[in-house]
Amino acid sequence: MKKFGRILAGGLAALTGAALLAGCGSSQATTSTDKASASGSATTAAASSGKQVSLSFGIWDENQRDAMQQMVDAYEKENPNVSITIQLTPYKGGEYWTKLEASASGGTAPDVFWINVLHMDSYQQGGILADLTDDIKSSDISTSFPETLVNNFVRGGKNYAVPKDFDTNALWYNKDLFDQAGVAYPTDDMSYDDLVNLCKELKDKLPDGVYPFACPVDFQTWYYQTIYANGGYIISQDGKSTGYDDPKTQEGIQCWIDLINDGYSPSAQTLSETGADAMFEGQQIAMNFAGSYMVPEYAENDTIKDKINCVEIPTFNGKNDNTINGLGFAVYSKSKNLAEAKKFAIWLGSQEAQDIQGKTGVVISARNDAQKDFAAANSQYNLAAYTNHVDDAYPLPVCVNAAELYDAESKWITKAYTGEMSLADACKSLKEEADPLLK
Amino acid sequence: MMTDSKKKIKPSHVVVHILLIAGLFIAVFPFFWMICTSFKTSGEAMLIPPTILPEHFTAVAYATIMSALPFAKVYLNTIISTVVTTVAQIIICSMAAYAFARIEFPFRNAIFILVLSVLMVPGQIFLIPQYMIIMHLGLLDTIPALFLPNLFSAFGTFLLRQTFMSLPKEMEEAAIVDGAGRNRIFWQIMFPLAKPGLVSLVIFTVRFAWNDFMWPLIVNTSMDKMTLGPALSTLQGQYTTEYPTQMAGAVLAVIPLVVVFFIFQNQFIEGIAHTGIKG
Amino acid sequence: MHLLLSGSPVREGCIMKKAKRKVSARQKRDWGFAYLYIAPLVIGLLIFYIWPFIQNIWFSFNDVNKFNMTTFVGLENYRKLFQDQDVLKAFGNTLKYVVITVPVGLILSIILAALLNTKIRGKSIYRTLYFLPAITMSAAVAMVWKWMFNEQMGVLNSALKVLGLPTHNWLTDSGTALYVIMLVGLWMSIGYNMVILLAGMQGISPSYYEAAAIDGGGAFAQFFHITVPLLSPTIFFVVITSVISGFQVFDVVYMMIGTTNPAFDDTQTVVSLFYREAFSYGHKGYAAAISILIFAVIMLVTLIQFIGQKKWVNYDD
Repeated sequence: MKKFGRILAGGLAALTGAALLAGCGSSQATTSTDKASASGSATTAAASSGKQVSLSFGIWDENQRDAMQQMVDAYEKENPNVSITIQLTPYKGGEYWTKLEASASGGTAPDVFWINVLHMDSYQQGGILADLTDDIKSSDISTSFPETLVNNFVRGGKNYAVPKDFDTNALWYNKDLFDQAGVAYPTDDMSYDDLVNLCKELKDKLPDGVYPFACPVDFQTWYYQTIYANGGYIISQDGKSTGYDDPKTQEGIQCWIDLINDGYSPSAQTLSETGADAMFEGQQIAMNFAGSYMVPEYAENDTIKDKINCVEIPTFNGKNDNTINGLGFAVYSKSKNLAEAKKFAIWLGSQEAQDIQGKTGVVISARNDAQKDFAAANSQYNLAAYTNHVDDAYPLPVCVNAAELYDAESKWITKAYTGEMSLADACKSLKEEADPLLK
Repeated sequence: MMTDSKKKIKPSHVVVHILLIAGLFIAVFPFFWMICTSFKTSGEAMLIPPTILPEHFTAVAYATIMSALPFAKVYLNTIISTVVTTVAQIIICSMAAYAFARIEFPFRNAIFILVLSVLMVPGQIFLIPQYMIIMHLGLLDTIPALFLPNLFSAFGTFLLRQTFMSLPKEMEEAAIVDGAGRNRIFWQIMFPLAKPGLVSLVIFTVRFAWNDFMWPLIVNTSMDKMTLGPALSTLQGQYTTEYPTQMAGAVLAVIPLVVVFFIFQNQFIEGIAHTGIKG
Repeated sequence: MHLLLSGSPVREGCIMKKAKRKVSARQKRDWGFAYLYIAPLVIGLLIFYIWPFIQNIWFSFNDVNKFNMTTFVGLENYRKLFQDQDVLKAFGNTLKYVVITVPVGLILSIILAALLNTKIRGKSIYRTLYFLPAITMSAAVAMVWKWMFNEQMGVLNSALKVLGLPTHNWLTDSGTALYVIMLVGLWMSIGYNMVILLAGMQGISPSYYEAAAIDGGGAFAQFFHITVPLLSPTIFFVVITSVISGFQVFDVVYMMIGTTNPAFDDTQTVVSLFYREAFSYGHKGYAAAISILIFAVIMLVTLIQFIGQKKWVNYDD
């Protein structure tokens, strides 16, 4: 019995030993973070005295790696004591945010990183974003960028990011398909009704299986534009309820469903699978709305790049309509080199930096004096369509549960697009699900 | 074509062959399609109806991917991670599995349930906590980070426990009577007998380690410490409608394993097929 | 509990009883040996899996934001869980997936393994090619399948059109999307299960078959009276692991079905739901509660199978 007890104790010791090891992990954690913060404050001090500082810079788009690297190179040249490493994590499956959240919880997030409006509120409330108000005040940023874009990153009167770029939308068309059909190209001064007439004219003249236009369930590039131009809304002024039940909101959505029902666009099922962009690139649709971020892809597609051009989004309800969304450069609040990180982020909003970014032609630089770079870099297209009415463009609605709100919205609106239920019913259910998300 | 044999052909065999070939079509066609598409131009890939073989054969999709990644380094990392994980799992899992299958010891079942319960938790919950552990160990963005949590496998232990339990007891009992120690019994008798199970585990682990996707992306940052799958995925975002490029990425990820399998297929299959267990 | 798991001839030697008996030196050595042999595995699992899981249990009683900051909320997450229509729907979809793919997959992989274990011609070529899907990356494979099933440009619909058959929007029709996902899941798992079963069949001594041949048993009788019973430990393993991985199906759904897909609701599995709550919405406390529920359901189903195995699984005694 005694012997058995001893062996049993041995077994338990092995298990508790394992548990202790696990415990060790966490106690080690505190020591290593202590060490980190100690050395952190040491380097902050070092930075001001011009010693070597290394920063990390988190991005998600491989297309923009070159542009970011050029900006980093220019900054390092002017600040020989700073070296910056780019960390790229893909956005696609949410890996960028998963990694950012894991590293932010552990105190090892990149010093400067890209952020979008969708994640702004939860990151700000999580205390991850450094307050840049004073740094922005002492720079020319607040006067050199569109107000909407600066405000995208303001919460409670404080700035949390420097605007990086923005995207707006334009109407693209395939000249070959128009020529074959013998229909005149779209123009910059069209209205929604003109677009419908153009579809009507094209419909029977296009080859079999080719549609005049596409209406996927897409908020940013399709129905938000018409909802806002029509005087509808998604989130009320006080931020407490959604506006899906407003008839004006529903009209702004119904106008696209009508085009599907009239046979001018492939079904919502088809578009959810193949995507309007893929169908446009496959020459299966004659016209398409596309965000400015699609331009590099269109311009590199050998099949269509010489056959396409773009014009402004048609007006709706007599108003220019476009949505504007943009990224920002944020600084990690627990950065070990906070002062240097802030300095770099502010520099990224300078004319020099924004020009470098704009001239690559991959995105529209947010800064007013660098916006023209985008059109200049792809001069074969009428890209001014993207920047002509930036001041009238609508920012995306935001709230803490933005990701959830957008998912609920696309779920219910899809049911209306496929005809599974009427838009009014879908919006009623959507409002019931979405309103609690605003609390 | 089967009539050249002197043996008479059983009609049942013909039916079997027809069924097997039909099944084979489903098993192999996706690979065929993947390879064909990867050599098309993006325009041809989107034709309706699709062409089967590429009309304008082009390897441009491969050139695009190759030029964008430090390919040799990424391959090497994937191989290191796969080999270490596999060897470690073979040793760690087979030892534990043998003890669970063949030795009666206090708390055996309780501990085994604990091991099994790991299988029942959705794997995604471990992502963030494991990141924290690796961070506390100071191993973020290193090669060991790629494989450390994967060295311990509940699945492998369960698989090999079943293997050991189905092995005949005679040889082991004879060895015990001869006074052989457990260590010797395990390494010299039982471990070799478990070869079919070990081969199954190798195949499973190689596939798992080679294809591990989310974990390397989260735990490592530098491209030269990345493995193949995640490295390819960083490229995918920019080729959303470039089907040939996506397919070329898939081919590059899948082909090395297929080649390894073809080279070692005899060892794999024979390892399973002729182990000399004669009851 | 020990009764459920034990398959060894000493199963009567219940721990409590044995403790009262005198423990021999040999047994004592065996115990030490066993603990030594399981130590690396158990320690590794405790650190990398079990400790995180315990943390997860704690999370399920808290409101946890994206950055792991916790606020205690008691049973609130569980209360929400049992009122959430999405949870019910996702469990329904997952159950459907398990109930269909597990038996179909098992039967197909046993048939394949049995055929490839005969003297049929060209079996090594069959074996190699059937095995190919088992070694491929699920992310890569899901992409190819998605492309093949595409309504507009997919090879399947094109083939149907050539044959004069009606085409279909396979992946966006809520009546068919889940079945496509099952097909891809089966495609990836059958090759591997076939290998495990083949390994098990090779472990069956030919003397059993020789004896049966003398008795005049046909191929089918041999299969059901010798192969299946003697293969039962392996079949049991395949069933247990297929059920568990069926309940955890996620990758393929995630890769093939987007949020604007009309079939989205009818294809979301419990792990999809968990993933969305934890990683897209940042509701980690609620996600933890979902994961505990998934765990509990799988645990229950697995325990039932372990109890049931006594009726049909034969270990070598």
